[in-house]
Amino acid sequence: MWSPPTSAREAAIAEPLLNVAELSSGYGPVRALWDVSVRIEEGELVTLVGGNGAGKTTLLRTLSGLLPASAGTIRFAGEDITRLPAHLRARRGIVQVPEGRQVLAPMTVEDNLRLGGYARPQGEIGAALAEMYALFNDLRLRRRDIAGHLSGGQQQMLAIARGLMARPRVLLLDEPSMGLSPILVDEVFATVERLRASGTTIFLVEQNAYRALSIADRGYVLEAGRIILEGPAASLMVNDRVKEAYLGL
Amino acid sequence: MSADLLQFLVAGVTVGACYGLVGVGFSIIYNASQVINFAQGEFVMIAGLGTTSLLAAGMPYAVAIALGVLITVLVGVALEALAIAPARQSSVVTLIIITVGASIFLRGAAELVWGRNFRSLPPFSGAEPIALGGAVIQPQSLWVLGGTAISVVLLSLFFAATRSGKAMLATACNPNVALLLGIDTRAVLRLSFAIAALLGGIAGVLIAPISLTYTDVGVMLGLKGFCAAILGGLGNPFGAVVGGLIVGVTEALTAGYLSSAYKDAVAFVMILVVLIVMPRGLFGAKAGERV
Ligand SMILES: Nc1ncnc2c1ncn2[C@@H]1O[C@H](COP(=O)(O)OP(=O)(O)OP(=O)(O)O)[C@@H](O)[C@H]1O
Ligand SMILES: [Mg+2]
Repeated sequence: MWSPPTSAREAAIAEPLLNVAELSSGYGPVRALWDVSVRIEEGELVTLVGGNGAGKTTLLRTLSGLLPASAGTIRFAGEDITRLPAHLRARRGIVQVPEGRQVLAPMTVEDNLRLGGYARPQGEIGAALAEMYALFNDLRLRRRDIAGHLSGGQQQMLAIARGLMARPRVLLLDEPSMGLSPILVDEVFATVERLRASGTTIFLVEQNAYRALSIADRGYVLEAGRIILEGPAASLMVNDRVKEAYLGL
Repeated sequence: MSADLLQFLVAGVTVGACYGLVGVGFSIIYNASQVINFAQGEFVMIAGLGTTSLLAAGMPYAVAIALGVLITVLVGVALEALAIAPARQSSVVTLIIITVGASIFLRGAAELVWGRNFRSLPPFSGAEPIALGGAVIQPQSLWVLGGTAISVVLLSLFFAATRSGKAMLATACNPNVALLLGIDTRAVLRLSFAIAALLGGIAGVLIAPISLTYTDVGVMLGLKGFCAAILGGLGNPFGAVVGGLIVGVTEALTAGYLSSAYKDAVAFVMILVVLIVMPRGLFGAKAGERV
């Protein structure tokens, strides 16, 4: 039986699902990310913590293709996607749930969800919708309502559910707990844990470092556009620098 | 109602329906790109003149009309591919200026093909006016109203019930989110030019039997269609139809009761008043949607 050369096979085994190497990007001439390297394995929950303006959103936008990389590479599922247009990245399963929810406000909840499944075979949409309604009861109850009329928490759930409709291979969540009341924050984190338990690969960007590190496998700390720390979430939690800067301890 | 008034209303609604179709085109392209396509009126001109030539070449009238509209759609798609797509990284203002250039180019090209003569199409069915409460309606007016109504119904079905229609709405609402959903927003822009050209083309063949057609016919029609779109709330295709009817009727009443010298000024005054008094138009999106 033919088998690939050992090195190639090992590379295929060793390569993480999402492999970001020395990525730089920014806004026109203004650079916001420097040499960022991040690896995410299939099934992992990885978090990225960092303060205001650290570049977290910029990194996610560069991964999803909304912003072009100025240097470095993004490999996904063994392929170089650094120059792939954003809509094709989404179709390959890199699904970003943007900061600030950004539901399609004038459209109904159900239309938002259906559009989440835009890239999927249309025959699968019905079943996927039923799955989302089972997962998010509020959305089921309000499926005919205009998305812009939902509460902040419901809009966040809608944004996440819309992302899940695409059946993501990796879900990029940008500060899903932002601006929510403590009870809703609990709900968001519970949802993230539940998704991870069902096998979804997640890259979770948060300012709420404590909560994020509590549920993550591994974490990265971004400061002023550079990764300054990385490691297992448990060890970051006890890192002095993290404690001081992000955990308020 | 006096016969005069009725007559003015009939005339206003007829021409207003065409302004509406042109206005819908403005709104659809605006939704896909924030661009105001000032070559919108030229679609009307190409369809009208194209159909006169096809008819003169001996084609059956219905075939000539269909082909005339089809050619217009192709021009719309070519305009997007050759003039807009290559410059799509540029600012919206640049793209708008490109459409102004394109409209001048299309008029120049049309003059080479068709000369500067006025041409007309025969009415679709009979020229025998229909009497209605002291006024008369040209059968072609009924074609205009019916054609507009069918176009609007089909368009609303397209937005309500098709995947491409929803993708277009999503792009209008938030182009970045549309990309994140896997929507090819460039394809949406291409489609919006095709639809805008289709509607302009339909308006062009519907109106040509009533008002003559010539290479500059799109200038005024385009501006009045723009006024219809602004009045209806730019980006609201169905508002544009109502806007078109309002412009058409106001214009007809002005021409009838004041002087036809002021007819074309009406649209400009309306644009100014709307922009100053209610910049979002009659049906524009409300500010302060929860985000
Ligand atoms: N559209 C933009 N144009 C220019 N600069 C920008 C733009 N968006 C962000 N920046 C800059 O890029 C840097 C990183 O911003 P980014 O939004 O990625 O930070 P963040 O970590 O997501 O912050 P937050 O926690 O506030 O969301 C900041 O200095 C910011 O000012
Ligand atoms: Mg951010």
